[in-house]
Amino acid sequence: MRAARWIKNGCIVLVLAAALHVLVVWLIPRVITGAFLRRAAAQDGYNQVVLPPLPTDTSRAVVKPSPDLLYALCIYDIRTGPVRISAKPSEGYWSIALYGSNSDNFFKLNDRELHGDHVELILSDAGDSSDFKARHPDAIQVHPTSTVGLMLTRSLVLDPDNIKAVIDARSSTRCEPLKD
Amino acid sequence: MIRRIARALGMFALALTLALLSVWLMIFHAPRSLAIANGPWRMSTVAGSMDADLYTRAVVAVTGLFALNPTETIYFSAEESDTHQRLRARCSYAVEGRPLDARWWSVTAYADDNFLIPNPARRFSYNMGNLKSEPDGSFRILASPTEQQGHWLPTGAGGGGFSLLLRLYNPSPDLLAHLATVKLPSITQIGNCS
Repeated sequence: MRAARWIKNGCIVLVLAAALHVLVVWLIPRVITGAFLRRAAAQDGYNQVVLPPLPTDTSRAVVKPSPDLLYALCIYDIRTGPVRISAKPSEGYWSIALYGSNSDNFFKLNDRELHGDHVELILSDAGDSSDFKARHPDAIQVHPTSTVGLMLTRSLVLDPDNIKAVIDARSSTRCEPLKD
Repeated sequence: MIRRIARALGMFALALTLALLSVWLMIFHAPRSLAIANGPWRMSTVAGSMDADLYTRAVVAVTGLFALNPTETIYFSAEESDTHQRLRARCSYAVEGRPLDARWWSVTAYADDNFLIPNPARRFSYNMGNLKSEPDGSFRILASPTEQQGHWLPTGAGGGGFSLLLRLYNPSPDLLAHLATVKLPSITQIGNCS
């Protein structure tokens, strides 16, 4: 009788532990990404471009930053409407990437995949049936996997001589609520 | 009644302890066995992508948040030398290889906390643009706590470990097809290190 109760309780503990294990693993990327997004938005606001300097040993925003890349970032928020993002690549490797609140990279485009000298993205909710093509014929419409997430551009700094050109190109990055 | 509640709380505490312990083991130890191995280097083909499983997402969030999709960038991480000894900041290592088949690549050193290592030279990485080749076309980086002739990659003065991250931007289709066998840089300890 006593042994049966021990076995029963042991099974309950194991099943509960398995469920909690899955829950914690599921939560980790959401909690870490969510904390980053909230902290960055509290500091710089939503739908605002942030242009940090080249990462060094004092950079603490994100783990394992690349010291060879200049980043531009924006915490997009489509809860109140579509967001327009535009950026211009610099010489050498350049890419723009979008991340959801679970840290998934659901969209990316690099300079070699680009048609033209800049990219324009319109982020809108999947349920938004508005046709942006007439007003923004060159824009790529993207439905993010979450209403709040991160836009990140990466610009390769080839050497100290080209950093000014990279900074100039990066300064044209825009991230703002779609006005028209 | 109180005994029942105490027993339920005890069982919950035990289950939570087991869950957290198993999560810690999966996040910090199992990735080595789950990832593709190539010598001392490890990588995941789904890190950062929509196809990532629960564990990959968790590992990426802890060790490399906002990784690019593998179709754009491959990240090979090394925490061990060729002889599978933990990389230690107080030891010296030669990282030797040949140019890699990607549009652009780099080797960066990170401290145990996954951030760049403070050093007086402010040198955190080498890449295909600033590595001078040896006469035979190969390259040689010296990861060491003390200044070295040539391509010195500081490992810091601390007593802990460090890791190397090999980034391959726009890797060639051939490299992508042979991730486990493509020739990657070797990591060899130089001299004694007690």
